[in-house]
Amino acid sequence: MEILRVAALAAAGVTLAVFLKQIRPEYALYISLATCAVILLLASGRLSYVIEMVEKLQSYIPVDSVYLTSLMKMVGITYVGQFASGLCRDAGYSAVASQIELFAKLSILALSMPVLAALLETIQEFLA
Amino acid sequence: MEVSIIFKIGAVGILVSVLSQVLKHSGREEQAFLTSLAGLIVVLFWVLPYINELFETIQQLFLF
Repeated sequence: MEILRVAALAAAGVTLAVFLKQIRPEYALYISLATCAVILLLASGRLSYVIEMVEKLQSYIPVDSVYLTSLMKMVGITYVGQFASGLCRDAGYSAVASQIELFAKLSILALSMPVLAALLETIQEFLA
Repeated sequence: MEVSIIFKIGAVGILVSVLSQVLKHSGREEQAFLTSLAGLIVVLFWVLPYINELFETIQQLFLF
C-alpha cells in the first residue's frame, strides 16, 4: 500500500542521512529536507481527497462556508508550521523552531477570532 | 524523479566529500572549498523546485 512506500522512503532517506552525517554534516540536513518535502507532497495528495469529501458533505449540512475555509486555513498553517519547525529542530536550532510554532499558534488564534465573535453574537441573541 | 532525488543528494554528498578529501591532501584547500560550494548549489537547485511545488500545493489546497 501507499504507507509501505512512504515508510521505505523515509527509512532509506534517514539511513542515508545518518551515513552522510559523519562525512558532510550539512548534507544530512538536505536529505531530511528533501525527504520531508516528498512525504508531505504525498500526504497532501491524500488530504485533497479529504477536503473534496468535506465540500461534498457541506451540501447536506447547511454550515456556513466561511467557517470551513478558516478551518482549512488553520490546518494549512499547522501543516506548514510543523514542517518548518521540525526542520529547524533537525538542524539543531530549537529556538528558531519554537518561534515558528509560536507564530503558527498566534496566527491560528487570530484566524479563530471571527468565529468566536459569531458564536458570542448568537448566544447574545438567544439570551436577549 | 520523486524518490530518486534523495539518493541523488546522497550521491552528491559522497562525491563532494571524496573530492574535497583528495583536494585537501594534495594541498589545494580553495578547490576543496569550491567543490563543496558547488555541491551545495547543485543540491539546492534540485530541492528548491520541490519545496516550491509543496508550498503551491498547500496554498491551493487550503485556499490560502
